[in-house]
Amino acid sequence: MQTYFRLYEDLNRARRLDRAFNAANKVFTVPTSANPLIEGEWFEIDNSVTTEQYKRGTGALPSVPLFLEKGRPEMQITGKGTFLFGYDWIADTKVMVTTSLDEGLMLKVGNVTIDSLARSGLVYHDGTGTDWVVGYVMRLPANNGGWLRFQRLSPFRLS
Amino acid sequence: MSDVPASVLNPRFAAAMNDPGQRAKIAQKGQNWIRDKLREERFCSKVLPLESVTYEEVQVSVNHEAPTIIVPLEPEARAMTMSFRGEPSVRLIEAARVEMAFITVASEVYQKDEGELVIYQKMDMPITKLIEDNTVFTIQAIQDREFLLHAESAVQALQAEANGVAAAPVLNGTALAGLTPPVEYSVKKSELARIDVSDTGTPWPFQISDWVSLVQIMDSRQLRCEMVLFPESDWDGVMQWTTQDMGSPLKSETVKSGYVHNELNGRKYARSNKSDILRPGNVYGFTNHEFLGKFRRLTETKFYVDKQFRTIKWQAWEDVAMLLANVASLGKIELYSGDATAHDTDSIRVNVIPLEEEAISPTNNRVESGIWYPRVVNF
Repeated sequence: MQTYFRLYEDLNRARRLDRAFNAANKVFTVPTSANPLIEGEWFEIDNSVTTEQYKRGTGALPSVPLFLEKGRPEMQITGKGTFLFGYDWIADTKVMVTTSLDEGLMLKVGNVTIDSLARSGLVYHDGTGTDWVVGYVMRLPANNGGWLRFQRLSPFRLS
Repeated sequence: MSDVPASVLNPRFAAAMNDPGQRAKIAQKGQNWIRDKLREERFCSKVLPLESVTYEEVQVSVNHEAPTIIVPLEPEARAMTMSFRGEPSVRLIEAARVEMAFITVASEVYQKDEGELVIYQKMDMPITKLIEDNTVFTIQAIQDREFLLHAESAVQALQAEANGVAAAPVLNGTALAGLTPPVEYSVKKSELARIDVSDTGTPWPFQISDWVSLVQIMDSRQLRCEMVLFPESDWDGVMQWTTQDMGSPLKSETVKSGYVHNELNGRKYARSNKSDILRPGNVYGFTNHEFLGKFRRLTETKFYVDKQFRTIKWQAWEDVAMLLANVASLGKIELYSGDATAHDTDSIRVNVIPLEEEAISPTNNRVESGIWYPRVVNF
């Protein structure tokens, strides 16, 4: 089983809450779908619907990471994902792009390619624009066995 | 209920939390509070009996961390005529299998400060025990909701198949009155609903012909409808059945005492007052569970209490798995004329499908909105 996300935090402190996917993303809970959701992808509220539903993040809104593996049965049954709503925890992720990353630099949610498919992962935040900051780099993949270690921050915008 | 008064209960409860060795449940007595609603046990276990499984019976997946159970289905068998010189076709035996996965259904995490808990002592109200008791019903209500969502998916899937389309076609009074009405394979409109072209979500009374129509859905498939599930408000329509429908003695008895028998037409029935889940106007029929699916529990309902400094927290949860393997083993009668399919042509769907989880078990009283009578306000 391939893993993409490792959490280094007391589970009860990480604030795991289940929330519904929107209709488009619910389809991707099935592991054999065109672009299945994977653990470590980031999701934001779909503000085009009236109930609280989540979709793959773009960086434009505060995002939370998915804490369930690809094809997880509960996700398929309920149409909901378990997201980490807490802050200040530390994790390793492979759902990221290393371009321009360095220790201490800010991270935001953006488009990353994992297994040849477009996913929502962590990318370098250059300090400009209106995208939300979600964390900062603690250890680069080159020094961490291919994993990006980061600390989750309470999301904020620079402008 | 025991004879321990609430005046002793609440501080004793708080005191017990100070001793790590004691997480005892304390019984309640009396009732000095106004109840909000009549709470029911789950109805899904009347259709699919709930059985406990052990960890030895679950399967492990190489792709995820969740336990599942593999459920096989009965394989097909055929016979054929032939001459003395002929030989039958060969079949490589295999049985279809489906995977049944567990989900956790949990209550909210309830919290209270130790000091605030004792004010309920003054009101003679064992609030912790009340919440504990009601939590079990709440968990079961969510299970009922999941069951009905799956049942609805099952009947609509066969509706789509029977009509040769990807999604079940519009089914309302207008469509049925048209030149090419949709095939009513697993979902049928009642006798009064099908001739109502106003296409609303208002249920018509359930008539005896609707009962026949419903059981025929399964009886025509080499199955037998054994259980009919009614919203309580629609079951009340039985009171309107005539002497011609029921016979004079039964009609007299029904008018006086209600319909008190466990069966109707040799089939069992169940009623539910959970109108936020089993919405009025939706009557489901099911075969015996052997032909329908399974309902399994991995852990008994667990209730955990914790105390950190002055804060007491408690939560309940249950791990269950539900499976409707044979989607032909159920059917539905809609007592309203409007379209309840995903097309939602008549914009009634929100009134006829189970409410969202967060909206389940809405409070009846309006005290928090300031509505009670006579209203006396102190400050």
